[in-house]
Formats: sequence, C-alpha cells, structure tokens
Amino acid sequence: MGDVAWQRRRWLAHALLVGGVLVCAALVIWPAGFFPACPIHLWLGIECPGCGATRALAALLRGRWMEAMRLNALFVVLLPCGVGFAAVSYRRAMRAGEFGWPRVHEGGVYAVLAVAAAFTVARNLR
Amino acid sequence: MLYHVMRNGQNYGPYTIEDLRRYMASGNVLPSDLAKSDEMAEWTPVGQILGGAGGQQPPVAPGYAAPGYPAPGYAAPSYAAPSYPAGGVGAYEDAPNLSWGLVLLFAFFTCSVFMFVWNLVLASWMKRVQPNSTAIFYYATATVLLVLQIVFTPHVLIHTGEPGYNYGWVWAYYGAHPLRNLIGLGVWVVRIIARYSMRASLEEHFNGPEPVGLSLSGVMTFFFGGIYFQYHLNRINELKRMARYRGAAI
Repeated sequence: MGDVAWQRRRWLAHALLVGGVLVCAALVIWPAGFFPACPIHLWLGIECPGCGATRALAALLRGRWMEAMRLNALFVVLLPCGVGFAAVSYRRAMRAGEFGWPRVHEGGVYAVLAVAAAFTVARNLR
Repeated sequence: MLYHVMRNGQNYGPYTIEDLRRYMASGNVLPSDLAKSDEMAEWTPVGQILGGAGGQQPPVAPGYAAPGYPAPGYAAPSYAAPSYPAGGVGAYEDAPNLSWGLVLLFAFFTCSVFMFVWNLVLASWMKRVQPNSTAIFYYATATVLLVLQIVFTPHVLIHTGEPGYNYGWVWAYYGAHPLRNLIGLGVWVVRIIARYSMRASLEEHFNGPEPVGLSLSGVMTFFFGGIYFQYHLNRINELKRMARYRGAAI
C-alpha cells in the first residue's frame, strides 16, 4: 500500500471518527434524530430490528439506560460489540500496510442475525 | 437454443449459448471441446460455435483457480476446472471484505444510511477494477437524491412531554411534502438501476479478467442489491485468499 493510499485512509478514518462524535453530539441536542424514516417501517408498517436505535442511542447518551432498553434492547446489547469493532477498525486504519476489516466469526454473525430475526418477530407481536 | 458438450466421450449439459460463453471465459469449457444442439447435424468445436454466434471470447487474463466454487444460478460442468497460476491473484484489488451479515446489521441500525455509503464503497472499487463500470454514477445520484429527500422533508421544532419521552424541544417531521415523495420515488428508481448496473459490471469482471464464472440472480439483485453482492464478494475474496496460500505453498 502506497503512502498516498495510507494517508487517504487515515484521513477517512479521522473524518469518520469526527463524524461519529458530531452525530452523538447532535443526538444529545436533538434526541428525536435526524435520520430519514426507516423504509421498512414506512412501507410495511412493521418495526425492523433497527427501529428505535437512534432514539436509544440518544437515551444512552443522556444516561437513560432503561429507556434505551425499552426503545431497542437489541441495539443496546450489541452496541459494545459495535464500538469494539469500530475501535479495532480505526486502529488498523492508522497502521501502515494493507487494511483488513477485523475478522468476525462467521457463526457469530449468523447467530446475531438469528437473534435479530427473533427480536423483530417478538417486537411486532407485542 | 441449448447445447450439449462432449469431452473425452462424456456428455455434459445442456447449456445455453451464454453459459457456454461464460464457461469458456472461465476455462471450464475449452474451445476444442465439441458441442451440438438438437438442430445441428454434427458435433462442432465450441470455439467455432461461439465465433459463429457473434460472440467474441472475452480475453482471459491469468486468474486464479476456482475449483469447486458453486456459482449459484446455474449448474457448473462436473469436470474439473483447470488450474490457473496463483501469481495472477494479485492482478486486481480485492473487493471490500466486510462480512455481508455485518453490512446488513449496520444497515438496520442506521436506517439504511450505512447501505448507501457501502454501496458507494463497492461501486468505487468496481470502477477501479472495471473502469467501464457506471454503477458509481447511479449510486452517487441515488445518494444525492436521498440527501435532497431529507432536505425537502419539512421539520418543525416541537416540545414533547409524553412520559418516557420528555426531551423538551426536538426536531420532528410534521408532514410529507409532495416533492419529498417524488424524490423518494426517484431514489428507489435510481437505486434499482444502480443495482443492475453493478450486477452487469460484476458479471463482466468475474467472467472476464478474473474468471470465476459468477452468475447473479436478477430477482436477488432486485430485492437485496448490495447485501447480495457483498455475499458473493466475500466468497470470491475467500477463493482468492486460498489461491494465495496455494501460490505461497508451491
């Protein structure tokens, strides 16, 4: 990997980090969120596994754990894994050489998808 | 028209002319293999049939072996694929290799915003390895339209005080602007065009310069787009990784 590509990758990683911090800050100011409406909820009228994640993050940032769990428990449970994945990816992006995404156990990903599917069914049956 | 292929007295098929072209590009069918359709009187070399059908054989650069890769959508010939020098594996940049399951989860938790970004990443890679790809143009257009859709969504500052949602002043949508709906429709139309453009580029690349005999389902492309592409790219990356190991071991 050339220096130019590495510099570009580092710049992108920094931009994503700053963007993430800005999104979190904005969610503290505007907790209702500013993302577009979930297309699945908009057209099918059902809650997808991600519905409520933005508001759950806003609640977490305000220290309202129980409210975050009520809004999207799956997101709250998976958030530490997501943050860990992002942190490892960021560290790798800073290093010279070929970039590789952190390897995640394939069975683990399928298990999470299965849990997400069960979670979706459960939250729509309430 | 369907063709049967004959090699060493064994009969394979039937295959369509497109299948034959793809198998020849991937090296599974040789130009010297004999083929015959029901309408033909005699067995004819495949190279001659494809030449006569107006098809030019895509240039086959040294690629990597893909033995046993179950390309979906068609039944691969049951005879062994030839081995390609592993040295050709590094000729093209690997596709972004984030697990398709993670892409799906990230898309869920970001109201599909991640999917828009990831599609741009995939299309950008596609443009680098297959310069005639136009998918990046359509995906970029869809992303611009998405931003416009958000801009044209009227927001209002309201005060909420319901139990459990007492945040004070928040921004909220207060209605659907007609232009917003029109742009929303445009986003989806352009996204569908982008998906099929990406599919064409992927098939062109992975049946030409990097011949693995990739065939992508039109229905799966329509419904799953980037997730479906990522699934196949993960598998192709795995093949390339194995080929590198083989090359290193030789």
